[in-house]
Amino acid sequence: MVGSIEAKSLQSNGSVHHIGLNLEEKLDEFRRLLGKSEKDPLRIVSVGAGAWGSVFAALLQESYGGFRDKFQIRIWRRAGRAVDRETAEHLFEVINSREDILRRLIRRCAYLKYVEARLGDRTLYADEILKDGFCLNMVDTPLCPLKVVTNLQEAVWDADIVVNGLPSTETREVFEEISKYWKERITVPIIISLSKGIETALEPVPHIITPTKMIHQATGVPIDNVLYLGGPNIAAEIYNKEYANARICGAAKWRKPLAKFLRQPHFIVWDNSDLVTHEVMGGLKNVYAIGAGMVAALTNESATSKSVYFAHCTSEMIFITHLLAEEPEKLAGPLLADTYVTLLKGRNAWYGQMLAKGEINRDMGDSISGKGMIQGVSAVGAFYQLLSQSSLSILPSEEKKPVAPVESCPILKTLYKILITREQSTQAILQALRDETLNDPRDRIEIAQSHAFYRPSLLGQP
Amino acid sequence: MMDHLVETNSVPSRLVEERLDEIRRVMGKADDDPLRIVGVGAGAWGSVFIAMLQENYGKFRGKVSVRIWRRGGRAIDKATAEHLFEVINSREELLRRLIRRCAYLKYVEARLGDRVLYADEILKDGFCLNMIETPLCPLKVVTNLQEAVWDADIVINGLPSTETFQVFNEISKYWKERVNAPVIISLAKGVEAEFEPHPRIVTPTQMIHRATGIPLENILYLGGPNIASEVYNKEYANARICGSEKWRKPLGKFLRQSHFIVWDNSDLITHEVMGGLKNVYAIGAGMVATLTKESATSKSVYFAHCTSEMIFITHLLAKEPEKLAGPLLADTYVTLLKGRNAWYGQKLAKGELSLEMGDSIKGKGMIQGVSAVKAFFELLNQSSLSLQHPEEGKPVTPAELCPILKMLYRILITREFSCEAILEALRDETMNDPRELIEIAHSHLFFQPWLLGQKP
Repeated sequence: MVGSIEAKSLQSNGSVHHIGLNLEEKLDEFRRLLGKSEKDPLRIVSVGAGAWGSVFAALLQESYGGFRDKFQIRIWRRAGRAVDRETAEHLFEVINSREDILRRLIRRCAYLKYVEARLGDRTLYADEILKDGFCLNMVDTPLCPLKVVTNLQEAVWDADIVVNGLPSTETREVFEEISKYWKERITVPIIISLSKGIETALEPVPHIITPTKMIHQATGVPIDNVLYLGGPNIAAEIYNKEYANARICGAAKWRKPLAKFLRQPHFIVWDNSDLVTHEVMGGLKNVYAIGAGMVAALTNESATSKSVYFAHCTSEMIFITHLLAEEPEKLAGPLLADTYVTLLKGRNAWYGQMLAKGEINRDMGDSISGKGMIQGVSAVGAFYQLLSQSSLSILPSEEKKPVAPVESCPILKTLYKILITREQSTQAILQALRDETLNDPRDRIEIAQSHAFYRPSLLGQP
Repeated sequence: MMDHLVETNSVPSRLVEERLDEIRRVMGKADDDPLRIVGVGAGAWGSVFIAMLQENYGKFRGKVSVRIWRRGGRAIDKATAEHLFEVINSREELLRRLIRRCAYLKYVEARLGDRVLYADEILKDGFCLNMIETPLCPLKVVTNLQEAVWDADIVINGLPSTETFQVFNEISKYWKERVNAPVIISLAKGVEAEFEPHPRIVTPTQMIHRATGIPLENILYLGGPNIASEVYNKEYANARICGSEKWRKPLGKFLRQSHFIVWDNSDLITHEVMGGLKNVYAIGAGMVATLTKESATSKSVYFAHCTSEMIFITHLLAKEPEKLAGPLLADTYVTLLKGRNAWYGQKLAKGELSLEMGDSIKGKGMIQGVSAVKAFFELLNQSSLSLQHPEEGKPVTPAELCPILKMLYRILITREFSCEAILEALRDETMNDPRELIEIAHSHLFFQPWLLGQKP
């Protein structure tokens, strides 16, 4: 650890001048685009302090935080979330095992509260530890210190860019509150959403509501100013400078300059106009990640069984995207990579594994201490509910009668029965996979690509 | 193991016999004439494939005969013999079986160094040299090639692609006077490239066709799972038999088992070539996994780039290639995750293996990805295949648009770079968004029919 710290700092020192120069240029360019005047800092607010939201804010702070008059970032999270004793003990271990963290806390006179909490003499709260860089969902990966605000109005009222780090289940509610504080704004902010969940509405016709749509509806901010950032979901690895690719999706006006602004040597951001496919797929892959975790646990990490699961779940994902988008981006390249990593690692897959091992049960709910919101659970309900509507019926290739699209998605159906109606145990996922009557996944893809059964209404388009 | 026995017994014997009778009918076998199936080559997958057929159909003695050919003379070293002895003694049912067949004591002697065992004799007892940890059922092993294949109805090619042409060339001598043409199923995943009269890929099924004159209609490719020991241990797996309609459907049905689903597919080309292509990228995946200590994030970046290169390459080779989704994607996924090519990449990156050791590794078998890197790169680097660069406007060879393939060539073939270079290639900020490569593939009509030897 000491060795690697040395190596890192040497590397930083060697290239700091070059990096700094580029960074300030990028910051200045972006400020110009937003029309920021000389003494007016660019104000970025991250709303919600889950792992990825916190890491995102921390990355920006580390990149641009040195230019104090030009840039300011803060993160909002609710107050009052107590840290339990066990977590406090673990946090204390993390701090004491890292010399750099220990030194930093001592220097900032912020150490002793962790000793008190360890001893059970004090209760810590999530917002106060976040100031020191500890995200409750990611205690093992300390971040840089962050400016934390618990008052929502104070956090967002003058923001230029808002980063939505909330679960989709809280997005509408929080942004409706935010809209009150924005009533008299002159400038329109930019909103980047990291959220991967979705909701289903059944009136006037069945359709999906994505987080960007929720934000647009709640605040009235034009959809051109609302973008989705998809991609890596192993937040701790991103923060630890693992090389990663991400994709910012939305209107051309903002997505290109934002991609440039957000890009770092270890974090490449490409831009993409297909907001719909990427945002929905971001939610859809979490559905199948839970099943992947179950399969991995039930078969002792069998690569062969994982490949069977992968063939079926990707073909279902392709089938579903062809219902939702007229010309969806192919499930290849970056989308495929996201799916790959989501199934391999990540909290939704972790959740599936824990359920299958019996170490967690569904009654504990889908928000898990130390992990955060398991978006896949509500997404299973949303997609299932949507695709089981008889008004969406299609003609499968062989049978003669119309069926709801969900009938062509046996894995989704099974996940619904395991997670939502709970009429089946996790073993059912293997039964579904081993059903000899299951179609070749290639058949499902052929249906998707050959039949024109795209339903614009599913995404609320005329 | 008892669970497996129970599971096996639960498959209705009547159903199995019906499948056997059906394939015999399709092949026109007379009542007293057994269906003769021969596996050629005894690598892990070839051995498992034959063992599964033996276990499934072997009890119908008058109707089917299953055997496997491998060369004689391959000696087993002392370390392997010691390990094999440990495997045997740790498994009660195995120990009992060998004692009952009076086949145990030779392993004791070999353990003590008093006797040399050979690969063909241990294979009779179910031990594949590439897969010692996973004992198979006893097999009928033949070391004489003529005796093995002369009257075969179905031949399973379990050879590496690098040996396929040579062995089938020899087989063709023994088939000169055959009346009926046999059916051949190839499991080989390697490819070769040739450059005259045009640059093109030669697949194992094409090699077999050229060597024997057997019509392509009778030659099929079976692709899919490559973790042979997992398939043998009844892990649920999907595979795909590709080739002419006449044979692929009845064979798909015949080969299917409750834990081994076989679908049929007409696209022989895409599947056979992709079977070789994914091994190329599996080596790189192994390197990335080791160099980044199993970082899922770095693996996903690698996956995005290598799959987009694979898509690009298939669009050069096939007019309407099957989409890289569904089963092909699953194969790619498992090949990158696990399997000997990925294992090889990991070992190289750790320094536990070196390139000088060659691409045939004791205990693992042939690492097909190495020769495939050479074949694909040299093919795609031919200037006669140049296309317009999407941004710069000047002609470039397809290889220039596949930075990972190019880097693997320089690491594994020309050896001018170490394994770390794969990360450099991945982290090159000038590297294009992998989606752009896919767009090129889908939008440009640059399918080259003769790359797979087809007449335009």
